[in-house]
Amino acid sequence: MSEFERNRHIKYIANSLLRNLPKQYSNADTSRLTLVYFCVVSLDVLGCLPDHRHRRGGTDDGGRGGGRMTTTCCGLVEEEMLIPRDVIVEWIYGLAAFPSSGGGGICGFRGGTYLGPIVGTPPSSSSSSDDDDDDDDVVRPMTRRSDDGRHPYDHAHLAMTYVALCTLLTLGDDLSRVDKYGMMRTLRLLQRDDGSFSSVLSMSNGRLRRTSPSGRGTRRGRRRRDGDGDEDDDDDDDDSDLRFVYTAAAIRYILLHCRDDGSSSFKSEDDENATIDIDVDSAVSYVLSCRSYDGGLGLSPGGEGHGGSTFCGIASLRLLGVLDDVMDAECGWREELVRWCATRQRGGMQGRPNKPEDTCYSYWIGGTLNLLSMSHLLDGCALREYVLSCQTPYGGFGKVMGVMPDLLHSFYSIAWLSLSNVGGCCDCRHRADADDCKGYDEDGRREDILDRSIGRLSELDCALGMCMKRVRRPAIG
Amino acid sequence: MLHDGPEPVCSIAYSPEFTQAYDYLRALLKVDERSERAFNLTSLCLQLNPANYTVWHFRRRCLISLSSVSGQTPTIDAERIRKDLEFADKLGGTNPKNYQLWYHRRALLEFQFEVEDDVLHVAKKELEYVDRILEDDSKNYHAWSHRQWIMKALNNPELWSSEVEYAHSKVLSDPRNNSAWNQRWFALHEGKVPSDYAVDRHSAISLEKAHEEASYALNGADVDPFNESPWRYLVGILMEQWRLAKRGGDLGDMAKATALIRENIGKIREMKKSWDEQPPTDDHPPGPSASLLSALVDLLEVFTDDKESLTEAKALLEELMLEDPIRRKYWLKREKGISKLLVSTWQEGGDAESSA
Repeated sequence: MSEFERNRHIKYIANSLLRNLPKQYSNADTSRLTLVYFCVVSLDVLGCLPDHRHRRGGTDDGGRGGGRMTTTCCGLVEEEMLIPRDVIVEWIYGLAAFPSSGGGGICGFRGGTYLGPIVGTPPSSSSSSDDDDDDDDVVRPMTRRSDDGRHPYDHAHLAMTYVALCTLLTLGDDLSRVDKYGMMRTLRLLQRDDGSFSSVLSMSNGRLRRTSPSGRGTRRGRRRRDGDGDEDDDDDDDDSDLRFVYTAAAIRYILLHCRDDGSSSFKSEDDENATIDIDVDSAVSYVLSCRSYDGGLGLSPGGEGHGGSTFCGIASLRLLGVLDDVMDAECGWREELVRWCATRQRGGMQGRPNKPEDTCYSYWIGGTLNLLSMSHLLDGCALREYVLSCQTPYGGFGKVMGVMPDLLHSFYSIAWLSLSNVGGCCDCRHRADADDCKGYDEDGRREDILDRSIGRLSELDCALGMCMKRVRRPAIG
Repeated sequence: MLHDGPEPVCSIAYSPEFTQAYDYLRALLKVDERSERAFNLTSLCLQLNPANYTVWHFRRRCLISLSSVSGQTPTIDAERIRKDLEFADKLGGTNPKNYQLWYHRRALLEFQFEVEDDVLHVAKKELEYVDRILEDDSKNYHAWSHRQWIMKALNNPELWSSEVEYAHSKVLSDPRNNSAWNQRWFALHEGKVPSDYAVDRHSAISLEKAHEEASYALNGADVDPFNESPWRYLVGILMEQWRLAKRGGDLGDMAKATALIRENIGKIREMKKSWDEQPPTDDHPPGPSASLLSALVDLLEVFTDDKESLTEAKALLEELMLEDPIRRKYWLKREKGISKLLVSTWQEGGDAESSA
């Protein structure tokens, strides 16, 4: 079995994060934040974001960021790859769209700077005068505009908001600058009648919403209308499917766990006795409506069962706190689902029946089984071997063996390797080449080198997609 | 150029052309200039990055603003819609795999359904387009989703039945195309999902239809018993009838559903026997098909109060542990479950203790 090339991965990921990505990534222009999320959480799983912070003396950037906090990596990365956590945190806050509460503002994060430059920090944070001086030539950013003057195309995106929150938490930020009330309100605005979520809501001058051809009932569930804002002026001109149910469920989970006052709900500003939340029941119904006859979940009702959408649905149920109840109520589904997931293993995992293996499904499908406490049913050794065989000489992982690495497949490969440490899914003691993998630990005891290197990965919160240690877990009602 | 602040993260080395085009676009977005030149600029920007949903959105708003007809409801000229569908087609090439491209088609069609009199004709033309894409990649998830959206949007009886035929043609050209099997299910159920027929029994398929579909699936499985798709389709069809009968609680319906499943169990046993007796060939690897065994076990397990069925399922699970070793732990768990049931119900028949 291949070795786990930890150092190479750290270099590949740190380089991607801090230096230029090749132009092949241009298609990720609107979702650069996702790339940052892949890098930062991968580095956290690899143990490169130690909790311990200390101030770096004397900066080499002409004192511009003088005195900012930086952190060191854990020993294995060269000096030049220090991960400047606070700089990344500020960059992410520069993508925030937190309109002042009230009105119909949509609250969240943009996916990158493609709509305009980042300058300084969002209104709610103290801005650095250094930055202002440096960037005098730069057009004022949209984040600085007043609420009513917002650019109609400048809007937050649900999936980008999810990766922003995870990345901020991973970098040690406490989300105190996030407008949590506004964000919860946004989730409610984005939910449609069928329980699904739209990903964007832009503040346009005229509506794009069409009516259906009479009597043909075309358009999918419309967005919820609860008299809660300027719906007449916005539109939700994009897909809505299980991807966005998942990101909404994850954002809600994080918001509920990071309440500034420690309470587990959001009181409505209009009515003290009411709380603001999404419609959990209809979100659950939507997940159930995506069930396929073979036990998996399609991306939308009627769709073919697929590894990615199956994970999104099951992780949503977990994050909404109803996974066990739903499984108990939907007689027989748990068994069908576990069978569907287990049948996807060829060695590596395929995303659908009769499709080739792909490293990212290790996490989507292995993760689904993990959420159902069934990942021990996989052949963990074979899966580990497949994933390790997709490591590249440049560090990182490819989609399949022998191709160039990319950040998505690297992240999901590393994420699965972390999950493979738990639930007894990787008991490789009986494998044929077990003896070849033995080495000696510090105390001279024989041990499996591979198990040790993978065993050192930080444990992942499978449903949330970030390290367990970064998630605060107060008692939640 | 992009201003990311002094220390950007995950910055992308855009080509100079990319940077220039998007610089212009940003300027136009800022003033919301929905002009012909803005529209043309979106074409270039989308060629450079077809995944930019904001540009697609802006393009649609340009199309509305540039249309000759204006009124209360936003609309787009039919000719512009036609041209833009062509643009999206060219941009996607023969294997379009991005969400935004497909969503754009759908948004344009929603407008087209408004302005055209012959909606069915519009839908059929679009189905022909999707077929072209599926010719190239018969499992393109986006393409199948788009087909499903068209079907649901029109909800037209003629389209539902022609879609069953279409799915059949795709199954014929590649029986291992699971997307095609799924489409057959989708079309036969006219887009309805189980939560719909919990309310209305008639949105599920009838018992007679289920008999036909079971035969269809078995024919497919007989061609290639190692193909998972027809087996899962078969189990899906049979279990749907079983659940409907169980929920209805009518003893007559239960008996009919039982007979349906028993009849198919019999056929699968025969198929297994004949395949077991055939010598291995290039098309037929040695050993039984795990997909066949797995389906047979699922059906036998339905009869939780029938000792013989459970005993047979247990033996098949033992066979699966040997024949499908990558799932050994999974089959072992299933086997233990059955053994436990056998012991607790009949105080015998299992070696649950010893294998636990």
